[in-house]
Amino acid sequence: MYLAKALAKGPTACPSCGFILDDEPTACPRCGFSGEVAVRKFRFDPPELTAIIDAGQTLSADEKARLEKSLKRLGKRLPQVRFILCLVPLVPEIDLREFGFWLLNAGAMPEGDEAKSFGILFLVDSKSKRLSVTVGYGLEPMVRDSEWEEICRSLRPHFLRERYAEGMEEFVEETGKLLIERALEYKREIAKGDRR
Amino acid sequence: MRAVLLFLLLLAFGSPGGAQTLDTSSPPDDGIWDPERFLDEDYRHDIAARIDNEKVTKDFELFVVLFPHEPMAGSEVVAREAGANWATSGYWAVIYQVGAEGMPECAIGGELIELLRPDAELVIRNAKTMAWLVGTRQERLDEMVNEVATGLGFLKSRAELLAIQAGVEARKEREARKEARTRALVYLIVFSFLGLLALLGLIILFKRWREGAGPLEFPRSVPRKRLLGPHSGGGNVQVSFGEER
Repeated sequence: MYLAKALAKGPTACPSCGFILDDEPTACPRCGFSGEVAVRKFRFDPPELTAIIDAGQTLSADEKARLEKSLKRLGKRLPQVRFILCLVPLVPEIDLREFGFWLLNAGAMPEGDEAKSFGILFLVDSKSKRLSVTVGYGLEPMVRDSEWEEICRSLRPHFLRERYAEGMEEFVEETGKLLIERALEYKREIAKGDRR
Repeated sequence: MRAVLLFLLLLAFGSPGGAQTLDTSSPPDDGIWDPERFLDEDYRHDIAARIDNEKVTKDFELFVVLFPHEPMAGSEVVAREAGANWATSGYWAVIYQVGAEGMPECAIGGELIELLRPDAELVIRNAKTMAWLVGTRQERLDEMVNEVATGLGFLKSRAELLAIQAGVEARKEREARKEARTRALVYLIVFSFLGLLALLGLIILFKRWREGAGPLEFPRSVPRKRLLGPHSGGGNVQVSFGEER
């Protein structure tokens, strides 16, 4: 077992105010955000964290099938990773990062909560036109926030044209490439014993 | 082998009339073998002088052999053998005749003469023709010597030039072969090296493919639990995709 800090590609930040968190506080030292605050803010039952959550029934059956196929294919290479592709219309007042923090912690996964460690929650807010990524503690050290941002920015043309399925499919593809590369890097480094 | 055969033949049948036998192993001092003294002293002197001159000026070895009678092995055979054994250079001729009244003939040999054999044989034919035209037997022999000496002497420089050219060409060929060998060696080294690099590349690719072919796992880590989030600490990623106003 490795220390997450030792593996980490970048720092962690408060999902509410973006303050860099050096250690593991129970609440953000700047804005006071925490899980308790999130639960109070989002006073409804979270949906089950299946691979595709289409709250507004926007995707067609074919589009969902295609997405599931991509996820299954990637799942063979990265069996630990769980994608949760969530298409939901939200009001602008809801901070997508806070929402993602709440949803990934509060929602139940069909495979059990253990699977959340390497979970990737990709939120697509179709109403306020926003994207966000929230990951579990296990996957967190592997990818920097800036890399997630880069992937999201590259998908904007799809979402701008409301091609949500294509956008999500490309998210899966680009994320898959990055994670495979990262996994191979870690495999080599661990083989060399650099991270002990 | 021929010398042995000749010797045996001579032993078996003897030499008729008790005449001297040509010693093909050792040349006569002045280049003239005339045991029966067919040649007058004056002619002998002139011919000897010509022989010496050709030797000194052109390194062309000329011999004169006057057989008392036809040797058992044949005058031409014996003359050739004598020339081959007596000569120290690659360019020689033996003018010979059988008996005092015989017609002079010529045998030639040596590696240089071989380069121009057709021309040399033409010289000899011409010399014989010229000798025929002359009256006395001594004059005929003298004429033959002069014609052969002049003609073959003239050809010698051409033969030497050809030999030099042949030597140059042989050297060029040797150098070309050496260059080709060197080039082949260089190609071998270069392509072997490239082949090794390619092989190394393939091995690396194969290893990469093998390590990347199957399912991949991330290392497990002690989570940095924070903000009371049991499974995730949230992220700072939010990107807008709306139209910019």
